[in-house]
Amino acid sequence: MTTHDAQMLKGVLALLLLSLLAREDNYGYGIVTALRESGFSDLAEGTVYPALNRLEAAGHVESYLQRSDSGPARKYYRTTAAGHAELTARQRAWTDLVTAVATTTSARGN
Amino acid sequence: MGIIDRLRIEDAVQRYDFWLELRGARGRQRRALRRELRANLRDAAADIGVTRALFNIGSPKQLAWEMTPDAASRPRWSMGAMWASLAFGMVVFAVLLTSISFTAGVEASGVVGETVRGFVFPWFGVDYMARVEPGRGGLSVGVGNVQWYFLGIPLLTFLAVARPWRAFARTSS
Repeated sequence: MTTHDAQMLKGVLALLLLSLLAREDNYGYGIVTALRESGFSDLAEGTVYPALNRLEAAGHVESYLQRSDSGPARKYYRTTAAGHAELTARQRAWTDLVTAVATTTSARGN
Repeated sequence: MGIIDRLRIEDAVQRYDFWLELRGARGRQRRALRRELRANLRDAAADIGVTRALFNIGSPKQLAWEMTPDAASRPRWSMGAMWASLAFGMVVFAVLLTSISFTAGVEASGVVGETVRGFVFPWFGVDYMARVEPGRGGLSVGVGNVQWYFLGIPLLTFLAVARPWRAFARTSS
């Protein structure tokens, strides 16, 4: 099982959540499952739910209730227009960071 | 899902709600957060079992704190009421202890058959009374004007902890 640095994960969690929600609407535990399937098996619900809450408070995602066959209604999240803009900005920032890190580490390796 | 599993989930949800309430989250927000956690826990329990589902959300207190980052600027009514009750209990206990000491002092001084009144530090304005009947006939103890302490200290505690003026600040902003 791959483990990730907790601080690093926290830094990119909003990017991951916005990316997932830009693809399709999802609810809390569904998002956790999707993240685990993508390889983030060490991401706990206790970290993801507050992050979703913060994104909603910031207006980057919005929510709606949808009936579920297996139990109580689920709270689904979807990305807003502001969320899409935020996602683009975060993707750019991430790409810049990866490029800068790659440049630095490869320069050190030479 | 069995009844025990449902109860374990409900216990976690109620503890979460307790901390949300203490945090000062409003009723509607608390209901929504409770409902969401319950639904997520049930889905997680069906997938990975209740024990792991509960473990993965971590401490309900910590989760409640993280889900309400703006609640620190709201009045904390429940916390205020809890501390006010505690303050009331402490005042009652202290007054009781003082009257017992005062009566013991009167008894030790040997004054019998008459009511002794006095002031005991730091109970300003409070009138302590004790009467020892002759021939071990009994004791009578009284405390007058203590209502200001019984009301005032819990009220001040409530105001200091609950900070109700935050509600007005939020309304006016």
